Amino acid sequence: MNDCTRTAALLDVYADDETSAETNALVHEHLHTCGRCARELQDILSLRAELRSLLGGEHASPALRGRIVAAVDERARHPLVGTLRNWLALASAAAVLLALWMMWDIRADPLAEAAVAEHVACALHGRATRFADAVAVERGYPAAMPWIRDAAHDSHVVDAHTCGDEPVFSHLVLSVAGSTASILIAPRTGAARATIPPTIHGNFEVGVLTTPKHVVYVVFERSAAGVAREWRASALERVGRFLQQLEGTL
Amino acid sequence: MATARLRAFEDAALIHLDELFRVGRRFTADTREAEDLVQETYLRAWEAFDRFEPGTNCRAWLYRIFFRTLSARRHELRRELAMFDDQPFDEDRLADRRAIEPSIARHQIEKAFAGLPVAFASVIMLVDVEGLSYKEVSAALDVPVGTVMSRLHRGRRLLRQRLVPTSPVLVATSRDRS
Repeated sequence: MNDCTRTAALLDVYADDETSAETNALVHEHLHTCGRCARELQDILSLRAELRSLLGGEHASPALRGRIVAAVDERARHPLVGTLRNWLALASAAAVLLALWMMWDIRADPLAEAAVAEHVACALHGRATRFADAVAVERGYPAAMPWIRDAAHDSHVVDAHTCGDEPVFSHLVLSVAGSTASILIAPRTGAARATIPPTIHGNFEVGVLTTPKHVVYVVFERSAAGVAREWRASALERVGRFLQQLEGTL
Repeated sequence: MATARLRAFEDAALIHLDELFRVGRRFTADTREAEDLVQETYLRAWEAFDRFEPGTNCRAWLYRIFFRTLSARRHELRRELAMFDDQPFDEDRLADRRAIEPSIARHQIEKAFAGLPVAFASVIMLVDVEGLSYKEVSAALDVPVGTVMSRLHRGRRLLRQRLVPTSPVLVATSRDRS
């Protein structure tokens, strides 16, 4: 690397007076003997002078200064306003994130999507035959029945069957305060999330409960949300206790 | 108590209003937008003033808030600010040795400056126009001093390259030199 190359690399720093005394001396000495580097430095200094002259002359208006002083003064006298505004902004952002997370969550759990599909096909479009509770008992769902009955929420089982390919659900179709809901139980796999809040899937709300070996989905129409939500909590608790007893973990 | 804090804020921060406005004006479409940006910067600075340590560099602290506010308003800016530092720099391509016309029209400078990537324009504005040190710019933009030096060097070269062809006199000067 010759002197010109080395000096050219230092000229910007030299022009800004950011070089050490030792480097200054070296550059200074080279500039005395090299017209090309001296012109380069002159260009840097000329450009800076032009920029400073042309772009450095603007001033903020007195009106802006007045507005800022008034706004800061207002914040100083009412500090809660700024804090509340910040909290509102944070709360809004959190709500958006939560909504996005909930939307992502249902998509990220293929079993939840499958549960909704089975609810639509079996419970709403009548793919399954409707049974009385007694018939369901004959069909092999005796153990769960006492846990599902919930007179307090005007619910009863109208159909019980198995459906789906992967996974195979134990599907209980219920009437809850006049609307149709489903409880779908499947063996727990890696696809099921350990903790999932109720999620929205089109016209349906999906509640989820996991036990060590099973995952339970409760699906109902959003239009029935008021009564169905109360029932969901009760139903999930009942089924959860039943499954844990079955698994020997309770 | 609030009055003392307000007085301290005005003494430490408001004295930099003119330069913040000038820098804001370079990165916004018009005076009104620049004023909104600067006002928002000061309100954010006021909210954070409890965390400012008296005796430290208020100017660099204000610029830091300013550029964060600007980035929040212009999402593309964040990407643009980061995209040039890792790219190889063709020194020869920009090694235009012609002198700059000593009296270039203001609109030519403004046009050439406006065409610069923000990463370069910001350091040129802070160092060449407002006279900040490399260390202050480093703190203001939250980048290492080496990055400030690199952006400054490349930005000045780009600016010169864009300014030189604008003047017929310069072309003649260049021919004379060669």
